[in-house]
Amino acid sequence: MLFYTQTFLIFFIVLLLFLFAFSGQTSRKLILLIASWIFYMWWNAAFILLLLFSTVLDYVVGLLLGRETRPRQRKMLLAFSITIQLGLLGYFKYAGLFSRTTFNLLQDIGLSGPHAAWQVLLPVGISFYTFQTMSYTIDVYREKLQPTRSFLDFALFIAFFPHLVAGPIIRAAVFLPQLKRRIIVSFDAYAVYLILRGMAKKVLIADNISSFPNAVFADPSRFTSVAIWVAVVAFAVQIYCDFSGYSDIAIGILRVFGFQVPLNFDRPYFARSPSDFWRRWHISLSTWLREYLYIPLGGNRHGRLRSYLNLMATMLIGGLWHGASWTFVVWGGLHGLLLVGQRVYRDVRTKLFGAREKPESLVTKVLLTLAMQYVILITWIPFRLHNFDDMVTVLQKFVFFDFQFDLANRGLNDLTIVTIVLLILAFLAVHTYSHLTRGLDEKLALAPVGWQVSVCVFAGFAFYVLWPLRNAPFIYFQF
Amino acid sequence: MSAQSRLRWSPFKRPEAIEPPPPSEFSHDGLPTYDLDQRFYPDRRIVGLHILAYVIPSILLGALLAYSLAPSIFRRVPTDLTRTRVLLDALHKPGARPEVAVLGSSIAMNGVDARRLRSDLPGQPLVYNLSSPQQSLAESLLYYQNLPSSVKVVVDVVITETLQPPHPHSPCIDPNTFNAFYMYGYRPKPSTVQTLSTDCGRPTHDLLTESRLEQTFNSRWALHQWADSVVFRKIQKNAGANRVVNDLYFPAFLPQVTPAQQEVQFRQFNTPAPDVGYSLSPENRALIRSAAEINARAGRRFVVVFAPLHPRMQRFYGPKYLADLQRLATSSDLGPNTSVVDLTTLLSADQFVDRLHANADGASRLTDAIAAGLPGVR
Repeated sequence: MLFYTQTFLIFFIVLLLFLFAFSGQTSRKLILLIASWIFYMWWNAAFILLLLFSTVLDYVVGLLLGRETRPRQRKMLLAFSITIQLGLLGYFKYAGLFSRTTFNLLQDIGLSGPHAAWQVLLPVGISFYTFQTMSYTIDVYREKLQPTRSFLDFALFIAFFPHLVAGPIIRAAVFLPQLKRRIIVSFDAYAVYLILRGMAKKVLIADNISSFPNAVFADPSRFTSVAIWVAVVAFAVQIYCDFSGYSDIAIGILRVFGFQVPLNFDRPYFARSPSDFWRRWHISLSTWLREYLYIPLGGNRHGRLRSYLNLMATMLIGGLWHGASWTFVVWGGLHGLLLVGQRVYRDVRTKLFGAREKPESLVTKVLLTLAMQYVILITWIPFRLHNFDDMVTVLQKFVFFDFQFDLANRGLNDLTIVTIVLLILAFLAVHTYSHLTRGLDEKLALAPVGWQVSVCVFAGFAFYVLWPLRNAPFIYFQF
Repeated sequence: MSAQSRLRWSPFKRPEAIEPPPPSEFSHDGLPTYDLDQRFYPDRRIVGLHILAYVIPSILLGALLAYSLAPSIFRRVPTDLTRTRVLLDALHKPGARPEVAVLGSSIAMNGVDARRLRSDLPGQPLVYNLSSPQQSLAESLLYYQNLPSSVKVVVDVVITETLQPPHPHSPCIDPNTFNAFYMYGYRPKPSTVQTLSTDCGRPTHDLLTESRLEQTFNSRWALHQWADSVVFRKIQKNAGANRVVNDLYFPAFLPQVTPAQQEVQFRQFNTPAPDVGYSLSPENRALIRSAAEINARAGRRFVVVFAPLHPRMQRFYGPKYLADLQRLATSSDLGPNTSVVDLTTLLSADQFVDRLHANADGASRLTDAIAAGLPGVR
């Protein structure tokens, strides 16, 4: 059930009617929980059992951790929970990849058996809710969070539909305390603004420009460097608008029910360094990885070399989290190298010139931003292309520009390259303006009513005209 | 009323204000953390019921405006299907009395010179070349109901690629193409819907019976193409660009490609390939039969022409497929008014501008061959 479909609209209206009819706190939570389970079962009813299993498991483990005081037993409980949760995630997400890899390796050395690689259907959202429930167990183990006694609260935390299938990954420490307050139905304009902004990113931009990268990356050997560049930039815009659009809608819907969650994106294409990028991109994942992987691995507490290794390991696992393909590991590895490179540079500079940093000039800022974005574009190539040969072809054509500008026979239909370039430019203009003014919303709010109405009429016109001809699922659904 | 209390609205009760949880709830002692409490979406001033009261209506107004303007915008913006409008208008033009209508894809556009065909035929009947880019057999069937009564012969130049089986869950007419027909004023008659639905299945039926609201909404594709159409017409500066849209006789538009470019086209098409099991699909057999019946009922002669294939393309499709075409060409079960002319092997490699389309020499030869295949007109 996609957020911008008629089905979801009907689902949401019915849900609101129920919430208006039952104002009690418990009944509203129950309604939200049942609605969330229905939302999940809309995709595949059978996998609700998996979600329920994960929920019950960590609810019980949380309660036991709350009672248990012996360190060894507590550690065993935590290990039990994490092993099962990661085991489920590993089986459903990676069994196919590992069996395929093994099968291919065996085939390469002439030992292939009669069985082909496994095909395992991936339960939607498993990567997100597994990380959420793990955050709860680990925080309870660390005694940073009291285990909740309410199964209803815990089940709602795991299954709440706005963030269930594609995040943001909301940690228990952020969400559970908010369930102590009244569940409200509040259409404040900022929630509406977030939902509309998310829809605009997803529907107007991401879905409309997706056709070009899809066509180019399906057979990159046919295309020149110009097309490859447009496709890579288009994909960078597409994935940002797709994912941050989903996050905006999710956070907007959460606000409708009175929940506040941290922002998940903060204009990542204005990052000036690798670490800056990860402070702006999929913040809920990068925070999770830092809190529950990098720091437990030792963080930067065991010397420089160990901290570099920890960073690499964190980013490699973070890459693999995205999907069952080795190219995601390459993507994670590239980001790991960038982060390590930045850390090495910082360490060497500190050693040579001391810790004091000179303020950056505007020119330096612009150059750093452009250089960083060039590198980020390169990293999107292994993220998008899951075939190593295609990935190498695109990398070659992207880095070594061929100066062929013949687009005469590119055809029309879905490959509307000019429209796509115009959409990319429009996105960059709005993104830049928003970055420079610290948010369009503020500007809009302060504008005269006539301007606000004009912008809204234009938005309605744009929504109608640019509404994609075919629905496309959110990219992060597959993760 | 305080600013804070005006922020939220509930039809039943005024809810409590939404506040982020206190920072202490996020603290992770001893660990470096982001300032989570600083990184929430803040409550901006864009709040309040009075804003909602005009935000949503204004957006709806914009959408309504776009909906009401869509039909007139559609007729004005150039697209790669603008020729459809020209063809439909030509068929409704009073005074136009074509006697022979040539239908087909870009192969017929580049391969059939209607003026030459006219001069080849006795009595020099007026011949229209009503082919258009990627016009499939099913699409040409849409035109039949609009052909004026003066048309006595319909020639449908079919190509191997449009004779492939349609995807089982897709209509056998491209949705954008049918949308262009609809937006240019075409309305399929029940008999046309019946024929195409029977031959092509449910998806085609659903497409042909979409409501006016749906068709108007679906016409957005033309606006999506607008910028590309305008820019590329300027860039390409192709003298044939106007002909490809407006010419009713010989809308040839493709320039000769270099041997290297042609080689790339073949490589992209994976030629040469062994016989990969192509065969004439049941849907296309049914469509040819339906076309024959419709034309017979209208008292028109119907000629199916299997367009010439580049010798390398012949190798790609393989002998079984070509034998299929040959068998259909020699069969006599399509009725006395219908004939099938198999010209797949008519042209040599040097008579093509690219892997598909005839050059001027090839077009002359193809036109003459079609004229020779119209004994009923002679």
